[in-house]
Amino acid sequence: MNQYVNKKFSNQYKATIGADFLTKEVMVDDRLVTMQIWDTAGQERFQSLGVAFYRGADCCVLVYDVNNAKSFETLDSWRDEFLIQASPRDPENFPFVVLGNKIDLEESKRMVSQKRAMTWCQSKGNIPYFETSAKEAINVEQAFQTIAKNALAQETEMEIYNDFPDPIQLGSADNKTDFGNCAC
Amino acid sequence: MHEAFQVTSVLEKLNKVESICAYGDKLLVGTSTGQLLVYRVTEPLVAGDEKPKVELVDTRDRFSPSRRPIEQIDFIKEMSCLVSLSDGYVSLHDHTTFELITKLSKSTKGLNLSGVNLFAVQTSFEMTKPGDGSEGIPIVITRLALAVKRRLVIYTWKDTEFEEPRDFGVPDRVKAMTWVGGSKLCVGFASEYALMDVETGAFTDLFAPTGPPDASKLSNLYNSALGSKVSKPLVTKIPNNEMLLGKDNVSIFLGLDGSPTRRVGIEWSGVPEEMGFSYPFVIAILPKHVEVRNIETQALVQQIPLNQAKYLNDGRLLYIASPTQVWRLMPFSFNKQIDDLVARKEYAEAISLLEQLEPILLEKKEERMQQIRDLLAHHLFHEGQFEASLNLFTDLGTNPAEVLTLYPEDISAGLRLDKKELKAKLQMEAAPKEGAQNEESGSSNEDTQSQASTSTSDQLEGAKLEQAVSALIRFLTEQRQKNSKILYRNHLSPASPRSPLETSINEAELRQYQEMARLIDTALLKCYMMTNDALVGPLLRVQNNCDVNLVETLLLEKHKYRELVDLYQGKGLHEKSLELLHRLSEEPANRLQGVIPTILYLQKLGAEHFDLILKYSKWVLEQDPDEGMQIFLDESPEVESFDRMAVCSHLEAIKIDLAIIYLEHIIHEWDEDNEEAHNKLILLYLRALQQEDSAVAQETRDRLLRFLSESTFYRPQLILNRIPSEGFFEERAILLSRLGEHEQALKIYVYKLHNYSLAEDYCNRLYQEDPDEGRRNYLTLLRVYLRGMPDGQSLIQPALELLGRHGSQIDAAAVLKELPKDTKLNQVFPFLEKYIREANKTSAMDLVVKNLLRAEQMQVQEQLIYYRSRAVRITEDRMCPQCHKRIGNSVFAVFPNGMVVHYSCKEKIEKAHHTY
Repeated sequence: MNQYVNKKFSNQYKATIGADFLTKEVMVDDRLVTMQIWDTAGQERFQSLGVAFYRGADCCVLVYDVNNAKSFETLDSWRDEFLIQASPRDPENFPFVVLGNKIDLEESKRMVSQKRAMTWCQSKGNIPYFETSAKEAINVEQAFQTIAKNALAQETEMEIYNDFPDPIQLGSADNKTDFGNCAC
Repeated sequence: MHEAFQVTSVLEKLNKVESICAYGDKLLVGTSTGQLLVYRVTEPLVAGDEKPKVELVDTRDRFSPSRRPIEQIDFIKEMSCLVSLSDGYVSLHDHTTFELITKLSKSTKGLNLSGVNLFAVQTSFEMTKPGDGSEGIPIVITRLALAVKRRLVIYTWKDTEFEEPRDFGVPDRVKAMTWVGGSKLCVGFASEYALMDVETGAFTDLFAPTGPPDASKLSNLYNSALGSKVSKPLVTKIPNNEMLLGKDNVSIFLGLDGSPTRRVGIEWSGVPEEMGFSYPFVIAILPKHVEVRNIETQALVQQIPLNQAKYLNDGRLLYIASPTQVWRLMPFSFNKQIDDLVARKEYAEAISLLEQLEPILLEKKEERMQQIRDLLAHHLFHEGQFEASLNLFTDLGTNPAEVLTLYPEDISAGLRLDKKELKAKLQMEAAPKEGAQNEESGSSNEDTQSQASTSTSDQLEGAKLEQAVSALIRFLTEQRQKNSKILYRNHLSPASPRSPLETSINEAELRQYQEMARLIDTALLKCYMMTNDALVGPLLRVQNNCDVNLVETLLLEKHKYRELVDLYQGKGLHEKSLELLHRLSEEPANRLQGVIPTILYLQKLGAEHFDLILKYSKWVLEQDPDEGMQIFLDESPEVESFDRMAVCSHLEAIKIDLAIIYLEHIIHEWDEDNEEAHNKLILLYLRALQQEDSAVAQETRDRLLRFLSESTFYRPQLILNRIPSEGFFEERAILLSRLGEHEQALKIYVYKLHNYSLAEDYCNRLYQEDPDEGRRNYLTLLRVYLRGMPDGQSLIQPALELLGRHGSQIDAAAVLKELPKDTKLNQVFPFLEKYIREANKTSAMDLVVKNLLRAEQMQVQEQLIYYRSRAVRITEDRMCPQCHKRIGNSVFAVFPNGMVVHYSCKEKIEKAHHTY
């Protein structure tokens, strides 16, 4: 998240307490939109924020560490948990984006293959998947562009329902990792 | 609207009342002829059946000596005196004898104080400014402000001690003024309001009491020129450092700094003529009637038709007077007022009233509040404002079970508390509430509530039901989160000693929370089923407390098998879900048809459910072995952690091929190096070979051979014993070679297989690994050849070919000894030629090496001589660069760069300069 908005990366692990919040203006299809990105705490699942907070989300980004199989395996439950908290009208088509982070580490440390991740994403209704490195700013821009685009599409859809959406929300499965959420 | 005040006419048929004032049990009425009427009032504490009574105790005909109207009268308790305004002068009178104390006719500075048109008094406690070493002490300050033409004169008494009056010029004649706190005075002119601090003299313009807020003075003039009625300024102090300023028919809320505090002001039904505050209401005299408003909700509380009302004494002793009549407005008890509001279902109003009341004024305020808010929530629900209602329930922390009773059977069935239980609970809640009156209202609430719930739950249908349910979903998710937090915390540290700060809950409570969780999750699931069934799956997959039996029935009814599997899986009822999956696999046209769902399920189970995996993989493997193998071959840690030999024997029981596939996979892909697995695979190959037809057999055979030669983990001895006695010579040969029985192996190649090239390859392999061993085996092979076939056939030809090809690697002396006597020389010629050439080659090579080495030796010697020939000169003055002492006759060391140090300093300097 920091890499994207502030073009900064810190190797120091700092656990997210409650939620971090940043905004960024992006151009999506010639429209300037303000994106609110929330980074929720990964350590204690969904405990820190009220239900109301998840409701307005337009897109949910799930981040895991490609070098940590456990973080990948918990994606499923993160997704389910998010859906319950947010109870979107059309859960099957709610925009998710999956990021496999920390691809900057050496190949031998990698525990989750791209194929395995893609298969999972496909089985959940073709979730866009990006392999990123927050540290080296690989794919970060592209990933967020997609996030913004999908969120916007969701919003337009929501407008038909006459609802009131606003923040984009960044749920992170990146628990128990070296530099965890702040690496997003 | 409710009755806040009981209105009683206390005095009638008076003659031209000009002012009123009440304090203690006194009521003073000033008339237009300068007469002061003094009444004593007897009244009950709160409004009730007993009406207030007044009796005339004194009449002062010449209170105002000039018999001019008494325009204003007020009482300063702290100074025990009355302040009155008549004939343009302010006078102070004793409050018991009504004798004149003083007439403020001239200020000390000589300012003439005639023509006062208005005064305002205030008494407040203030802290003195802390001086050196002394803290501030509280003092009583009474301030009296007089408006004299375009001046304000301020009299101040500190602890009844009179201070020099101060005066200020103001831009216009003062039409209204009120002390709004401390030294702040809010002044109303014809065209604007201003805030003034009499200590600092700071003067802040506010806004005009009429017209648009930013209208210029010109437009005001214009208005008055047209003769339109310009409303008179009105300033009213209300609690919490706010004041109300009249602007036409609206009263605007301002803070004491002059900035607006609320978005909307009170909009009266007419232009107020007089206004006052009587806790917690604001009262305004309008042209046609008197209005009472709640200052928080601004709702009209009471409308009182009082003819020609004009004067007002605000505060606790609220009196309103017309020129001929005086009314007492007595507040009803707040309990009664609130009950009244509740009875009228004006819950929001009741809550606002409660909020404004000091807890001391009302027993059990908090409980009362809870109760009314609860009623409001129910009310909102019945009004169809589900969202608002459930938000309120959330705030109240209402038991979800209670909320669920509002919903139809579809959702609440099996989850509502028992009616009886609920009633008991409600009564228990209601019991501590005070007074028979409340008990009554409580029980009546309960009645209406249960009536309402039965009636509305029947009415809830269609879109309305959907709204109600989606509001419920929100409510329940919130509850779920709260509840799970508690459960999670207690679940986390049951054994570890909790810190005293942490709220520890005992077992019974924990059970209660669990029960609650069951209720919440199950209800949530039912809601999802009704409105958004795509969320059923997620709920069942995450940790949940759904009631298994209830949900099971429900899902079965709706044929939601996928979710049912999720439920079983979440609850660890794997056997049930696997049974279900098996059953469904045969049912056409459902999403769980076929073997894949079972395979995926089994892959996730993990080693602790190994028995189940074995049990339910059977039908899958029988039906679709290729896909089924994925149960055991998936690349997941779960699957890789299975007991592999157990899997193997399981597969073997179904089909040998499967076991072979499995073993091949674990050995080649997962690098299994367990001896048993390797042995097993070989034995399985052998068994398969005995069963299979020749077409496939060859392929299996190849695999076996490859495996035998590649794997290093099996036990050859064991396999050798198990290998069938007929055939399998090649295998046997590999095994023998593994055991180091090279001769045996070679014999098999030669005698059984008649495959000389294989035998030779075998030797070549050995030679490459270890030339000595190879040499020995070439010889062994030669011997085997020379011995001839068991049937006596000579093998001299392959023996000679071997010699021809590998002559150089075989010891010639041994060969010559072995060769039969009748071997012709020209037969061994190729061998001898090769051997001699090889020998020559070796000797020539050695010669070259020898000379090269000699040359090298020379070079080294030369170098040595060169180094030995170097010299350094040690003179008297030569110092050691390390210790800076003379080298003298000590032992020294010389570095290649010529540096000379003491021998004892050598190590130190080496350490210091790593480069040396």
